[in-house]
Amino acid sequence: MRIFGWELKKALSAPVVWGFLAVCLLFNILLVISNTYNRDYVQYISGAVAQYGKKVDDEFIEKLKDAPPSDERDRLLMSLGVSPDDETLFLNGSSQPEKPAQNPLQGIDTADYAEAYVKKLGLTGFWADLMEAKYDALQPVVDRIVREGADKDLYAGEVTNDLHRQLFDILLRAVLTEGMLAAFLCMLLVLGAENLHGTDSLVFSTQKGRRIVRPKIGVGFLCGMGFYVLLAGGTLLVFFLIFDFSGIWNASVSSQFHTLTDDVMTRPFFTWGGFTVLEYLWMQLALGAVLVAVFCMLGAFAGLLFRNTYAAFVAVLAAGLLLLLLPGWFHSLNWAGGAFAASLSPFWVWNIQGSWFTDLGGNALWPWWEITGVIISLVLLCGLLFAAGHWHRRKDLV
Amino acid sequence: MLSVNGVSKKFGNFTVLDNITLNFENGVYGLLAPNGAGKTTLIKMMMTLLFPTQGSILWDGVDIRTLDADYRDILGYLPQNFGYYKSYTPRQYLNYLAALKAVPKEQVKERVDVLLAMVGLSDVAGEKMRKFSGGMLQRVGIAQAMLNDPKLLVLDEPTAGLDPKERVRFRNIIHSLAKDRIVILSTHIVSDIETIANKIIMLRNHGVYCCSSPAEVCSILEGKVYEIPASQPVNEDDLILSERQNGTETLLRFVSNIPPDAAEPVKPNLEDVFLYVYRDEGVGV
Repeated sequence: MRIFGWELKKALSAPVVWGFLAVCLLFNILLVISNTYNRDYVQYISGAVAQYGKKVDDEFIEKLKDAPPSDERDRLLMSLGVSPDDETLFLNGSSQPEKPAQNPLQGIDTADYAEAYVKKLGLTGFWADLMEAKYDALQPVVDRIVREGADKDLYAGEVTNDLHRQLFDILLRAVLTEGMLAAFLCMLLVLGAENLHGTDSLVFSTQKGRRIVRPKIGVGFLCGMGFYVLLAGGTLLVFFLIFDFSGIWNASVSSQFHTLTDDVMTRPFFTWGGFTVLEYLWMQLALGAVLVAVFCMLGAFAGLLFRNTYAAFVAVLAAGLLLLLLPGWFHSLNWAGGAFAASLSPFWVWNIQGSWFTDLGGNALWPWWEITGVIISLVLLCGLLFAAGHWHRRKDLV
Repeated sequence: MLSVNGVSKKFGNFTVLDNITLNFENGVYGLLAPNGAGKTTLIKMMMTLLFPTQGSILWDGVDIRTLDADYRDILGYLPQNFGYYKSYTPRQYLNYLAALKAVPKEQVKERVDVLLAMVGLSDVAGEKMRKFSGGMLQRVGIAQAMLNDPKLLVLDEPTAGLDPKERVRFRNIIHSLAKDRIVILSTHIVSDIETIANKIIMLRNHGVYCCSSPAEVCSILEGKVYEIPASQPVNEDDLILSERQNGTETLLRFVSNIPPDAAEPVKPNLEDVFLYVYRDEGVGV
């Protein structure tokens, strides 16, 4: 513990670490405050949900119509297809009064999705069977969401896609990217500190010797995870101080207003777990933390392999870029096996962060694909780290 | 006792050291060779930073790779160009290294105080090391090497970059540390070791050229070193070693088998031998 304490002190006394953290937080805050035009509307929706319930049905609309007039109320009513003045449908200029659909997602056949992705990717045989099996597994999830009426949740009305994108696709993506980078660089910095300071000969010839990499890896891990928590905590605190989610937390992310778009189709945002907004946020943060841990391990592996911190950074960056290009390249070569194997890499899992826990379209062959990818990365890196540690104990420190 | 048994070290196809055999017992050893002769490679193998391509290094008959941490526990090492953390004070630096050297926590403060006093840095123990001169840093280096009261103290080029006053001070410190332990002092500066080393080890052509007392080493040139006024000619085959002022006269010091008549025989010293042995390796006047 003595050495762990010293190494932690050394890592935390590096100005570059805190500088990086401050720049990231500042960037994230700028991301939040530069996009607040929906703030009042989201606050109104939150209040409305708290008062009238989270499901859009006749009762909700009646209560909303009886609510004190305001621009936000009128906007919400119009988004639900109800004119705030004459109670007529406000869609396509129709004057027929019409209620919102009772089961908006009812009748969805996920086999149609499977067919579209099989066709788009040119999958055949085994791979096509896996894709079809995945969408077969999605059908009961869809049926349950419809049965429970989760699809009728208001979420954030017609700004759901914008708000969800801002929180999960932009902010959490920024937090995750920064957290991964911070964890990776921090680990490299901790492991490369002696080389940078020219103290390696001195430190590795002490009684502790090369075994010092163990507390160093522990410190790198602690710092990496700590910075992710600070980045996530700081960024989300600012976001939720600006946007009132009190009435939104319990809405299903599979609300009728929420869609997922890729280059094949736009479809409802189904998650395997049928998550609410709060559950989805926790799941995103949790898997993000595991991915940060993966990058800690990647940093440790590179740090043991390369004595030069900059060489380690460049090597992993190059490997990452290659792994991001591989799935597309393999698909263009009609090598589905290679493409899907490459899309289990931690870099690709990062790439699809905005769609985690959904069916992932053509990016996945079975449910919870991203979790499979992260578990494989963890197991693989554990093995690589063990081998690198063994090699490090026997290598010349020239 | 430290034994280097038939140790060779290659980097790729390049042989740095070939079949080195040396035995060390308590006392000061001067490892003398020009830069690039393999001194640091030999020392790094003794410090377990490099591993021999062939042969083994034994401490009391046991391979140091087997002893591992137990062996490093008896080591004190001042590397060439040793690094430090600029924002640390000498006390913080020594405390950190004491932890790495497994010095019992309750003994650290006293040990650090004693060593800082020994190297004359007590007054600046709380100041950042970024402000320190080369001599002060080197004294911190000596202090850290002594933290665990090592049985084997290895100092690699310890006087490089020091001014003459600091070098004298440094030699005095080494002299005081030389009791009851093996001290290996690697240098290419002869004056660093000629007065304090019990044995001189010279490396040449990737191997050991000699491992003897300074007197025995100097006897290589016994009866072959002369001085002559610079105005007098020397033979073409004679090797000029150095020159010095004697009053208003400049004297040439040289090695010769058949000296000119005007030449006066003088007692050879270590520097003469160093210049003579490494005459083909760019060393000399």
